[in-house]
Amino acid sequence: MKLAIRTALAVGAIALGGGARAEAKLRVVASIETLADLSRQVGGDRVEVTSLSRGYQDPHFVDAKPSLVLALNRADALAYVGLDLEIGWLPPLVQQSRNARIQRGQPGNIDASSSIRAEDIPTVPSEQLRALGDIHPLGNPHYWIPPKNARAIARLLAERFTALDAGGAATYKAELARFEARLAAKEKEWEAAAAPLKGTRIVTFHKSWSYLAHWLGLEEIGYIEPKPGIPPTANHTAQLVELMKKNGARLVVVESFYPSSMARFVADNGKARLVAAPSNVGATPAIKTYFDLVDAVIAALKGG
Amino acid sequence: MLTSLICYLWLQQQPIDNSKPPETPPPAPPAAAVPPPDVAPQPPLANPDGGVAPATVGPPPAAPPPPPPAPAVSPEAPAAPAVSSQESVRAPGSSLLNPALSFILDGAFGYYGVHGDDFAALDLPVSGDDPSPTTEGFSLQEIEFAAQAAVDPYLEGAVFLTIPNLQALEVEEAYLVTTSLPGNLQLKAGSFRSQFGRNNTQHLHTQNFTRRPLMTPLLFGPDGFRGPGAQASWLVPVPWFATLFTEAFSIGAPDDTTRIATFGGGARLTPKNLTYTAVLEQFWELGESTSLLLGANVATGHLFDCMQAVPCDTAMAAGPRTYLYGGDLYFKWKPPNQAETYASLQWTTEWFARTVTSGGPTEGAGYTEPVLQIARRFYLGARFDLVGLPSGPDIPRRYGYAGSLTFAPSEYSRVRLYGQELNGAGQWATVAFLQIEYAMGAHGAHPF
Repeated sequence: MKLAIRTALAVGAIALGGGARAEAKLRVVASIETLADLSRQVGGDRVEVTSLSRGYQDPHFVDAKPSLVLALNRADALAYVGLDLEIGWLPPLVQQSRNARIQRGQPGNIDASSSIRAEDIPTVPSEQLRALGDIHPLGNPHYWIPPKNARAIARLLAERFTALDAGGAATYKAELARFEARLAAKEKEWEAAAAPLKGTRIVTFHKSWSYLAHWLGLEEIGYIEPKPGIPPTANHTAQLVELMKKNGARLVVVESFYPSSMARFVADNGKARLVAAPSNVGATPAIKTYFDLVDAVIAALKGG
Repeated sequence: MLTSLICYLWLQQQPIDNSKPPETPPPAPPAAAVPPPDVAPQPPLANPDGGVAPATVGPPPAAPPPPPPAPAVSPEAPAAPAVSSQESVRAPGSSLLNPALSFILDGAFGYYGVHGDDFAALDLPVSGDDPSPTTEGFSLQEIEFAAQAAVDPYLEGAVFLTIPNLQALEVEEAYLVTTSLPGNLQLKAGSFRSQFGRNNTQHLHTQNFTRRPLMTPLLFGPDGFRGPGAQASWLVPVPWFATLFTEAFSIGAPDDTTRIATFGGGARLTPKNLTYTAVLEQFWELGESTSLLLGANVATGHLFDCMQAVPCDTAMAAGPRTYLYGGDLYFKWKPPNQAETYASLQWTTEWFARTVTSGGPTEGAGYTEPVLQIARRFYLGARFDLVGLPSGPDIPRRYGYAGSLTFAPSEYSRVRLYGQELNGAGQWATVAFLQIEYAMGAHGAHPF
């Protein structure tokens, strides 16, 4: 019934030929800025998007500030990375939001990871998982950079926005098509630009560049963290530097939100180049969209 | 403050829920938890940990999959959602509906008082989850067992059982919370910690000190302000965060009948003998890194007083009406960009007072505790306790000066050095503990 009224209103607005909107925008809250941008790309001017975290923040550790409850309370949809990335802060906020529309099981609860194929799903017995560090039991949640995954997320968002706001179906379809067309062109451009990097051996701080490595044909040989979530130790760092020298690692890739001093030490001693790369929209003020983000990542990997 | 909303299940240990888009209602049978044939077997886990080779247990995932169930994804989504290989290491269907389960252990080694009687002479009661003053040396301060899960589409449930100081199994909390009520309302029912104050809402393992503030056992009771009851809360539609909580509890008679208790007096046969609370919580962001949480609290019930008549019939030990009221303030500074610094500051201050009607005294107590994160894994805390503000026959003036240094090797374990000087009526006592804490299993996140 509600949808029917919304549809009628939307059709009426179109029939009147006015650009003015006859209804409120779909309020989308995203857990990270990249999902916020993809929501904007797909939703066009029918959606109003806010992000709970900033691009220069480690998305594992966001303060569960009560003020974030307000955005969630008013949201029509919540888009989140899933695979337990936000487990340390998002669940209490969703519970406190008192918003039935974004609870699990509702179309407004958009787990972006349901659209992609997760990698690095641990194969150890569950009671031994924590011996591997702060590992994500459901798979590696740092998946949003490769175009294949961005395309899947955008399609999921368009599908859900349409379910929530049938009057916008045409808009979401058109915006998704526009996004996919641009993405296809950019994907070719990015792959051509990164072609010389194929086979490059890299070391990263956290295991958060694996999807990118698989996309671009980079080879991960080690991590500065001895185990996920465990700060570097002298012993591990020394072993890593030896490994890098032996295997000819050329790049040390680190998200801009990790302290760079240890990464610089590893890069200098391992005879590799340090790449401080953005991993999220909003990591720097210049990175405003998903396309800016991947442009910046490829540029950083290529260097100079 | 929000901490009694502690902990609920989200994703962990629910692979089926997470492996399907939320709009597919019936959970897939175990046979469906196999990748469709167009999904290649997962590549082996790259070795992220510099030497520990993950062992594989259970059948290898490469067995030819049975005919795929109708894909539960829309035609627009090209890739089927990944399936957690955890399922392959479990007996089919056996544990997939388990709640998130966790055990949290707090062990301590230490002493109250340089000389045995110093602490006793101060006549300060201890909280139930403080290290016991009668079993000094090594002690198992508390074992907590937590189970948290979505009950159905409308309710979330949690049970927290504890064994403090190896004494008895207690229900610290066991409650249901609604998720989908209209009108910005939320209901909670069961036995739970009152939203009253900040420290009172917290479990032992979320604290930065080995002992609770001195005011807690004096004003709230040894186990804190908790009990069987119900709570309704309302997110107030104002531009900043404001939540109003109202609660009713059946507070029972205390174990220790040699002291008065703020609540718990009278047989709880009529609503007039219940304990009622109202709490207003407000939160302001003063900047990207700085924020302030302010709670205003008031509660009323009947004093438990067995001091007058011996022997005492605890059910009838009804004293006059009492009021408990006060405020809690939590200041936090934490820059969001940790590449700049891991430093952060959390500063909690609380003060509460009890007024006994019918000519009874008004007595109060409070504390202030700044906790500074000095490195990624190190926290330095200080606490100043002021008891007896105002002082009276049941709450004489006492002072406490405590310091703690916490090292957290990971998110799941902590080692803490704790020292406290206690002073009052010419007596001094020194309390010192080495505390170790660890958590196993899936434990829900804690609120701000």
